[in-house]
Amino acid sequence: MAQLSIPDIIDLGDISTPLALNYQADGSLFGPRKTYTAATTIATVTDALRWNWAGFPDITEVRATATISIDTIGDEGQTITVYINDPIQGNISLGTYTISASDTTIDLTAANLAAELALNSYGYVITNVNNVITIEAPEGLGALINGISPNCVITDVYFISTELDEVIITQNNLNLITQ
Amino acid sequence: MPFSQNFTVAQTSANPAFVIITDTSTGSDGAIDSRRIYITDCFGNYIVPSGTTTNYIDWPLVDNPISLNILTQDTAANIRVEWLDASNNILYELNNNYCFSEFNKQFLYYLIQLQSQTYNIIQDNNYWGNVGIFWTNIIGAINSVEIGDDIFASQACLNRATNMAQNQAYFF
Repeated sequence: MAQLSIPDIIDLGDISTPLALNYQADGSLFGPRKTYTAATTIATVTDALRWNWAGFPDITEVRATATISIDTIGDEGQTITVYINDPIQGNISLGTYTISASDTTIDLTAANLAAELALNSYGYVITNVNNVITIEAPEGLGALINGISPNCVITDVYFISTELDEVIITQNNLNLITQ
Repeated sequence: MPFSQNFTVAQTSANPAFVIITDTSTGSDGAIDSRRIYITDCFGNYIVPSGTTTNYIDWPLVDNPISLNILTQDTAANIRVEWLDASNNILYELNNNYCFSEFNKQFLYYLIQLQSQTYNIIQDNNYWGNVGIFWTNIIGAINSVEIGDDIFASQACLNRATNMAQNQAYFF
């Protein structure tokens, strides 16, 4: 006999509840039954299963994906932060990576950024092939997240003067503006 | 095609604090300029997300569905959506009562799950009796709204169930 599916078990529970009541009612004619709470117990467990199944159905959900491509190596010290405006959890940061001297290729930068993003606690699954990072939405979001793109914010380490005629000197790896 | 207002409401299972409202209206009306949501509890108090300073929640026409972080526990509420013109006159409105019982439903499932890990929990004093009462309160809350259209009675049932969940050491 094949393994019963969860919907099958819920159906069995729905059928068993009135049967248990009948069994109990028979007791008034043929003597007390073993347990008088069987119908309530079956109904309770069946509803618990039904409600959980409604909220978290174990179906093959096509989870939405988005990709990020690293196309240039960038500069040491630059940070890349990936944000997603999650329809449930709000605008969240999946993680931040700081480019280091060892990021000598775009593939290395992508792999290191992907490793950082993979630590997110929001259920997003991160994979990486060459310079492309794929972000898979958490279970249960379904089509809610369709059309929402990750937002990559790249922050430079340098303080950039808005007054371009200022003299720029370098101290401690920061470009400072002399006034 | 004339505008026919409608919307659906769902409490998210992944995070029961969130309610998702989807505008399912059909047709169109060029006079519609904005949209608002009013959510009230059984005492008529307005429920809005943290940081909202008005009684209503602005629902931009370009946003559909909208996700609202408004619940801290199971709540029976009335939700009214208004479609307004440029002068904030109400062109269309629709309201309905809802029973948001996901927190307690998930606690019930947690209890049943617990039995497989800690089977002797069912030997606790009146364990099954209390599970039955807990379940009855959830069912009562749902039926109060779906059959009786009564969010006050529904909230009373939800409060009893919530109290049992919050004091689980005494009941389960």
